[in-house]
Amino acid sequence: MVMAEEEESGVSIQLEFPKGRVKKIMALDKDVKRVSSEALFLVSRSTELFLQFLAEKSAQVAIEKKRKTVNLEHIREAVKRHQPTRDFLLDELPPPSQPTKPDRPTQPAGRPKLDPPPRGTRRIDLFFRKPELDDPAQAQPPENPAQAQPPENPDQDQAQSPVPVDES
Amino acid sequence: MAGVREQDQYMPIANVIRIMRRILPAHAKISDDAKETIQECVSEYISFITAEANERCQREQRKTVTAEDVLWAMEKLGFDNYAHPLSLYLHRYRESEGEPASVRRASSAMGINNNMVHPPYINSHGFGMFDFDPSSQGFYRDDHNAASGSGGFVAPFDPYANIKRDAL
Repeated sequence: MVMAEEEESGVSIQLEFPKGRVKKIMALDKDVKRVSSEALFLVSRSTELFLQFLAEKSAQVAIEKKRKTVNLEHIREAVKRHQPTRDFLLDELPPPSQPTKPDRPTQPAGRPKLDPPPRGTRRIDLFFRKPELDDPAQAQPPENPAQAQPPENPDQDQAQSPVPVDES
Repeated sequence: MAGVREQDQYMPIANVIRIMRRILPAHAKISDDAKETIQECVSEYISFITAEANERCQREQRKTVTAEDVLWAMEKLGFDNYAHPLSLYLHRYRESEGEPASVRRASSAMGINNNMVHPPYINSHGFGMFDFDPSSQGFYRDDHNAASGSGGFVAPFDPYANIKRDAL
């Protein structure tokens, strides 16, 4: 019946796309509040026409390139050749670098780079200086707090004398 | 949930492939990435048309997107070659909506006669649509009255039918 009707009248109201799905896609736009049944019907039919157009142009590109299989590049070329389609669709197509994985757009991997802070440098130096200070501390335990004073450390290191000459 | 949500964003692949095969040459094949990309293109087209139609709807401070909004959006976005076939589809759709089920069956049974009657009427109305910019409600009434006249019968017409359908 459907086929006969199409052949006779040339204009059919039978939809290929399920209306429910079209309505869900339209509703993805939060600004859309209500859609009349006529508008829903028109969008469904218009989408069919667009799909037929896209299939036809993609097939033409494939034929020009002597291919029997329509692939992503043929679709891209077909989109480029039609200005209105190109305007809204070319940016949405998968990037040419990864035609085999259109659903996974490449994202630059974030590499955390930690610069060595000045405080870290000081801490490392202090850590290295502790063993040198410990050796004289063991020889003279009662004078340990005096030797622990920061301003005197470089003097002792430069003099390289185990005896605290400044304080004596 | 993510899977279901993902599927709802695209048209069913079976419908997409069926329509494409009708256009493509018999020996043509479609790669998997092309199928997925076409699905995304179709959804993108629906969102694109919907956003534009809804913009005009809101500009005129209406809450329901109408068929006229959709036709206007397609012309503005460059798909004006779809406008004429879609206006034919719209008239056919409105006739089927207005007719009772029994009359619809009768029209289907007399396919040839129906085909002979419709072309001149559809064409005249198609032109009328673009001469002025009527509201959906007014246009619907005019269309229904004309359909009743040409059909030779008086069908019950509910002025709030559009609103009721929208509520659903």
